[in-house]
Amino acid sequence: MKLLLIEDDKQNRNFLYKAFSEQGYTVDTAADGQQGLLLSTCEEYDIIILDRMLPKLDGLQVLSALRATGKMTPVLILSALDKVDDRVTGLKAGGDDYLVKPFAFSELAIRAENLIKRQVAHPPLNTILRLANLQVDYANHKAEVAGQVLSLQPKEFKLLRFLLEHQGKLVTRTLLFEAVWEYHFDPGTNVIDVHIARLRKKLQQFDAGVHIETIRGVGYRLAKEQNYAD
Amino acid sequence: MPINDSIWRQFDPRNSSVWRLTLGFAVIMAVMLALTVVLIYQLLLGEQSRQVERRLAAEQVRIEGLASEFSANSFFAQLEVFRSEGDLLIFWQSEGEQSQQLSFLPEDIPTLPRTVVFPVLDAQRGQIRLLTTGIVRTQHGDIVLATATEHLQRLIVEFKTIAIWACLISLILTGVFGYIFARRHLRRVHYFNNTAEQVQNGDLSARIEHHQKGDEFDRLGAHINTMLDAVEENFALVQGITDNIAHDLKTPLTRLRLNLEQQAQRYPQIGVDIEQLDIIINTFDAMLKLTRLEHGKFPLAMQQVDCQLLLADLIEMLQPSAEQQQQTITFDCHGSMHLQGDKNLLFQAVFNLLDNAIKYAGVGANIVIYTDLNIIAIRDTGKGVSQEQLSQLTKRFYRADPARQHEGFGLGLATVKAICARHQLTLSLQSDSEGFSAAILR
Repeated sequence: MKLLLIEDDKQNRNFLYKAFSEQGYTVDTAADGQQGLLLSTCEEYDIIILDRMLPKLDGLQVLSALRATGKMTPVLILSALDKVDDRVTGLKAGGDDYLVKPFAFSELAIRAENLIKRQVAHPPLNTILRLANLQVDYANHKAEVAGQVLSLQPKEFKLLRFLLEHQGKLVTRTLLFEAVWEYHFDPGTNVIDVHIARLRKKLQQFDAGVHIETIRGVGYRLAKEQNYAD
Repeated sequence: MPINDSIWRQFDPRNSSVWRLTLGFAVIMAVMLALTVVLIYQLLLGEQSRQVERRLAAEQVRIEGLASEFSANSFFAQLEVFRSEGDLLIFWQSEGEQSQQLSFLPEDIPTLPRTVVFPVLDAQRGQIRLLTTGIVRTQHGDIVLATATEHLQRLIVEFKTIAIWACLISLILTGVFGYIFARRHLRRVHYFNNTAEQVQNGDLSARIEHHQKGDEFDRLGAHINTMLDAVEENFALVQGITDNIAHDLKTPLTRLRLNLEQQAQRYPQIGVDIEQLDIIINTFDAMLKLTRLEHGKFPLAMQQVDCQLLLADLIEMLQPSAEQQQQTITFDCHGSMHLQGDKNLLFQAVFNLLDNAIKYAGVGANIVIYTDLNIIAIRDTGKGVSQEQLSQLTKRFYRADPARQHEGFGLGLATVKAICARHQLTLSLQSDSEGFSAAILR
């Protein structure tokens, strides 16, 4: 996977370079808009992470110029500006997703991954996801643990499905909130914690062999229980 | 003037001061017209009526003089002469002679100088005549004096008719022109209202259209436009500063957060620090958002919003939190309010209200969410707040619990108020012995 990172702040650039490299990406970096535009038009990337405020050429100008050349590489915009401003202007200019600074790296990673998946766009043949004893059939809206049907509220089902789709990865609160409730705003820690606690309890009751871990300050992770034996 | 008034109501001249001035002017006109009519009547027709009366009075004196000087026979002979030479009609009753020419004579003719007007049929000419009549009482009997005044009477009637029509027409014309003037006037005032509304809704680039007539409206418009230029300039300056602060602050915050996040994978206890940092970032974001909402700088993603669905999502989301506090949430739905608005902002508004209810109503409280076509009300059976606190609740950073038992920044209700204002909705807060209630009204 090739990733282009256009970010003017040196520290952030270095950090993201390291973090994405660790995730297995081949990362190219650019420190200003001109360099970024040059790289993005000459090379082929799977995804571009673009800061909105850049020296020489503004992030949105880079984006418009890139789209004008006919390149449809997915672009994720990073911005210090207001959320709604970005959604409107950034997405209008041809951005595929946006993230407001300061952000959690785990969220950036998942969003980037989602954009690449969308680009490749192969519909999953299998609509059944499994982890340990847990099996979720999202075509039929059914969650089972070893043949026993888990009774879940619609939102709980969505929550479980999202966690399962990103199993083993850190999922941030905002990501969950957007995916499950489809509203763009941060309700604070407590609300989602309570829902997670409920779901966790149900999974434990049925001995699903999976565990939703809460990582304070970061998010949640669904994984097999440590003592689960295949 | 409320924004959602129909165009007609906005232009309804009855709301205009010009219309009231017109009505006042019409009243003054009516009084002046009435005075003029009375004056003309007195000068022209009143004088003629008085002449008739003076004439009859003079004849009365003459006949009384004759009656006292002459015997009955000579008196009547004299009267015959009068009758033949003058245009006065003179009748008397002697030897059973009924007055000639007249079809009838009323019984109750008053004694001169009082007179009465009555119609008679003139058999000779075959027409109805109007006679002004009075009686002279003499020792030889009652003499009836009459003079034909149908011309005068007709003039009086016509004069009255014309005067009434003239008054009516001029009043109607005053009304119609006043209405038209008021409308034209209002339309110009409407430009001002329109611009004021646009500015109020955050469009600082709105300006008053003015034509180059150079009248008082144009001068006022030009002054307001100059003022708006200055305001816009200052606002852009402030906006630039806030954006720069936001940007300059967010870059180091991003570094800090990314670093902490990386550390947290090795040292999980750092998660607490990240949470604290997130609180700072959220407060900062909430403040920026509130400021931009209040100044109309926050763009709304407008769409049709069904509040019933919004509330169902909300309850679904907060039900577990309420259950933790052993609270019950009842959804009392009597129809759904449909709004043109920003779904995410509206959701945030109702979220803040219900979240507050859950946080502050206390363990075991009942929360009722009532909605119909025009209202969303969230009531709880908690202990509410005092009346002094009630007015403070929508102010920034005001928190009713001094102990700060619950997390929050004291921006929740201020944000709800700002969101309501941007959607032309009203936020109403009440607190009494029954509990606390917050309502969003159309």
